[in-house]
Amino acid sequence: MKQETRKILAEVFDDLTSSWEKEKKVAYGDDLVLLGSNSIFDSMDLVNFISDIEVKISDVENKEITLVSETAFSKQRSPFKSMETLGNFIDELLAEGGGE
Amino acid sequence: MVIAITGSRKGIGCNLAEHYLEQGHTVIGCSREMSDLKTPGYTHFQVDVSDEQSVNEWVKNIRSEFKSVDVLINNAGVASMNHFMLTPTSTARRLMDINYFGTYYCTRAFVNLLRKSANPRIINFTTVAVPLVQAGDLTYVTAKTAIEALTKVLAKELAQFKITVNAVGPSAVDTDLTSHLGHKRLEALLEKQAINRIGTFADVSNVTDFFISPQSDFVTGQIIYLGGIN
Repeated sequence: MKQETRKILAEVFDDLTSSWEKEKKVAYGDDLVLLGSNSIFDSMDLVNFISDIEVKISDVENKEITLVSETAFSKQRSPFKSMETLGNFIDELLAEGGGE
Repeated sequence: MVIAITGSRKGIGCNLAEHYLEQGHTVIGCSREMSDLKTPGYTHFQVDVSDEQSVNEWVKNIRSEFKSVDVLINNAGVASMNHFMLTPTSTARRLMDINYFGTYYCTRAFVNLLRKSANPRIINFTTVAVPLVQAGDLTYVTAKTAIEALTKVLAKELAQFKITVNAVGPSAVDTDLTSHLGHKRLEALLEKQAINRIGTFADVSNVTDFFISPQSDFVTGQIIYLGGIN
């Protein structure tokens, strides 16, 4: 993924996890799992994370993307598997000009 | 406050726009056609709320000027009255598309703008036709019932963003929506109310004022019907 995208993901992740208890906290990494039994997020955290990313990208890149879309669910490999796959998906959406 | 109102070209939507403009708020309205409302503080967009792309384009345009929105009033809606056996399926789908999915698409598109508000509010529109469950109202009642369910579930799902979600259910108000009712049917409707009079725009804005008040931040998932129907 692009470095700018990684920076956005890391900043949003750090903001979201800043209120987590010490034992639960982890550092940002591209390999962090977002979905499934090994996910670092519960469902509410994931909702907040996705929404926060959309807002951050709107503020930083001045572009609107919708992460939860037909495009996302039509992919063979889920973009939400890890930070890496999510970052790559965001780069695709930004290159296309949106997320519909 | 910045208040977005769908279906603001006429009827209750137009009246709510004028009401909040008089209070000094900024109002962003939309409808499928252009609006005659030229009051300073009002911006109008042509949007088809049943078209998700049209709604997303609207919000994209809003975002270029406004960093946040405080209130979303999902007023746009249409009605239909006919026996089930005389209602084309296309009509049923159209009512669901405009009434329910219009509310759904607008809510989804506005959430990120509402999150930036200190007192974010969503107000949906249902109708007294839901509790009255009268023959002839199937397509309208089912679409509005879906909006009521959306209101209650969203109240829980959006609470984490401090967004309250409530609905107002007007009784018959003198608009295009009720103009086809006819005198006899209108009289029969008014008889079912605890207070037997036709509703006014002020009756509706009285409820929306309550919902959007900063003091109402503990009121969510509620449906208020007018005229004493429940």
